[in-house]
Amino acid sequence: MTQAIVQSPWIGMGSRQNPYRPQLHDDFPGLKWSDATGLPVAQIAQGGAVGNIQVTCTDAVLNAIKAHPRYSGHVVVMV
Amino acid sequence: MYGTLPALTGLSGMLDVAGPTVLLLDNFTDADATLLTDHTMDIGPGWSVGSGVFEIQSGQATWDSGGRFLAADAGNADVDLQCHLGDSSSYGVVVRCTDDDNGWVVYVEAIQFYLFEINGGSFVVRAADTLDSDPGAHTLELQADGASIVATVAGTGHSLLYAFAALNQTVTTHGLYSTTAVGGHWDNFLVTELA
Repeated sequence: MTQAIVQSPWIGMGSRQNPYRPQLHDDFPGLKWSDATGLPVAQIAQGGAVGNIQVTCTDAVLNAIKAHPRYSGHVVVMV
Repeated sequence: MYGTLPALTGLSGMLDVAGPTVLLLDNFTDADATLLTDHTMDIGPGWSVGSGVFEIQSGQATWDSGGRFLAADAGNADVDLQCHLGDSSSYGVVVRCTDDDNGWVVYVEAIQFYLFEINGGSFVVRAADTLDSDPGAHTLELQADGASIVATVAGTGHSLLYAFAALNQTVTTHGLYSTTAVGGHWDNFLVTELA
């Protein structure tokens, strides 16, 4: 497994059914991730927020993230 | 006359080795339909924070109606918590909650494992993972230590970490969380000081 930091937009409406979450969560279902920025809820709620997300995944998934147009150039592999 | 003192000292040492101080403990032993708010915990001041109506059924806690939280004051914000859950249908535990709209929630929904910040009524997923399979009955373990919250589904090797837990960082109430479905089965609720 590889760890990386991915810059992702935040989406959602803040409800239980549609919580605030990184777009990455929806683009790569099943991904193990944690918020590595800790943006305040108020900032996320304003819309347009982007934060760092730490992911743990296989090399194949990481390559898919790197190749995704939304995340291309916004991935840093952790050594 | 004072010959027992050395033995008592030794006993004290043994108790220290036994583990961290238990702050809250509830095995939910009471008559069916007893409201948790009317129930005496094994250890702790009682269930008093949050508006969820939880009751005891068959030696477990179950959610009946009302709000989503019910918590007890452990007197410490930095704690280890563990609780047995009867299945993986979107109910779990909460730490550092002040009311139904503010706290840190962990639960399993089928194979999805989530850590939520609920802040002013807004739900924010702060960490997520996917389990290898639906765990069914499982035990959640959670450690709140300053700005760090770590949650684990015991025995699965899956854990979540969030290191920016600013909300309610000094709040000392921890407890049960349910989503919308009536039911859920909580048992062996234990909160201790950090090991």
